[in-house]
Amino acid sequence: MCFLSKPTLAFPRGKFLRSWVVPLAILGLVILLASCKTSTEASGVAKDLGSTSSDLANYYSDLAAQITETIELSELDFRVNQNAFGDSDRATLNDIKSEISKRAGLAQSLSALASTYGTLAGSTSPTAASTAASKLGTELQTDLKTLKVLPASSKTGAAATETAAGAAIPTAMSEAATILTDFIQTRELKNGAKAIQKCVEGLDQLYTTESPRYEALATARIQLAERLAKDLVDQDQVELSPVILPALQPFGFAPKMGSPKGWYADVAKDEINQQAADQITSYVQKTQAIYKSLLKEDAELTAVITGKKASASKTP
Amino acid sequence: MGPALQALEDNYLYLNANYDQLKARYPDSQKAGFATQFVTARSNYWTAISKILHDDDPRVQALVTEMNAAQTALEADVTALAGIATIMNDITTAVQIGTKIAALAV
Repeated sequence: MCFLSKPTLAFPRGKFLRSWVVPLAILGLVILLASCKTSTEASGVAKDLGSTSSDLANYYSDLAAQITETIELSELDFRVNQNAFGDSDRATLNDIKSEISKRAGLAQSLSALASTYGTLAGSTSPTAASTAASKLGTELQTDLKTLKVLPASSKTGAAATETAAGAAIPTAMSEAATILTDFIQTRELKNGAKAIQKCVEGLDQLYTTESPRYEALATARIQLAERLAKDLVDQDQVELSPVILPALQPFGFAPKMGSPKGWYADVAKDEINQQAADQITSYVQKTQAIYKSLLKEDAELTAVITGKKASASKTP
Repeated sequence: MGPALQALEDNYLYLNANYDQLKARYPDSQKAGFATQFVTARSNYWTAISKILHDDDPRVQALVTEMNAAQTALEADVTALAGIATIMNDITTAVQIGTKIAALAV
């Protein structure tokens, strides 16, 4: 919180002392203004980070939903193409979905942390902010204990065991919980920024490591849907008149009922191919955008901690 | 990402992306065999994502080298419009190596 209150002390009128009053006042003002600057920057970072972590949580929730769709599509694939899909396959996909959902939870925790930090920066209710930060610290430690990295480890022995247990989740994130405690005690925005930065770095590292998996899971789902859609077109299970609607709608006409021409199916399959390719490209772009946002937040937090201007220099 | 997971992913996504084209080339009597190979490749990949593969295990490293070679051969033969017997053999070889890799996931 920023205070710029009127001085109440009566300063001595001596010449020597007076010569110190102005510099001291300026120094005091500089400190107070620096505090205000930190507070303003901290509020700005909290707002941006809240938005980014919310996007990240939505990204993970969407990916978890895609795993559910993959299960449904695989069941359909079994009916249409006799590609076996059993209980063990379903269980494996549900395990993957569960891991993705944990990441959504972590991103939501980060969003809550950003909100808490923003509240503390505004300092309207430090007690409430401290309580929220304390709760989040506990949640962070609990989540980390059960988190498992999606890609395989590249190490054997103890290191691999650690990976399986979730220790390969950046240690920075567990350190964040400790720094949070300091933040709660001191309510210093820079300490808070350090705690949040640890969380952001942790999620950033996790995301960077795993994002090829996210893209591959989404790509596989779209490819499967694309293939099944074309199979269903071939099996005459699809109403194909929409393929000629763009030509008729501007004039208020509707397609004629009855059996469609053979080329309707070709046009429909071309459209399916195109849309599938567009969706894969779009998903890759979305994944990259989240990555860039995480880097930006990391740089902004560094600026709050160091008092220097933010610059995101890492490349994907 | 580890090379073992990458090899399994490459194999599965390739079969998934080229499913119709590959299945169409299989003789009717062998189409069920293609489905079996596809499902196995998919299962290998999902297993690798949900478990741990040790990329510094010499057995994994040797299998990944074999699998990458098999995948390269498959893609080259499909591009070159090789005979279906060759394609079928390429697919079976790559998927079988993938199964050996997935079996090493813990």
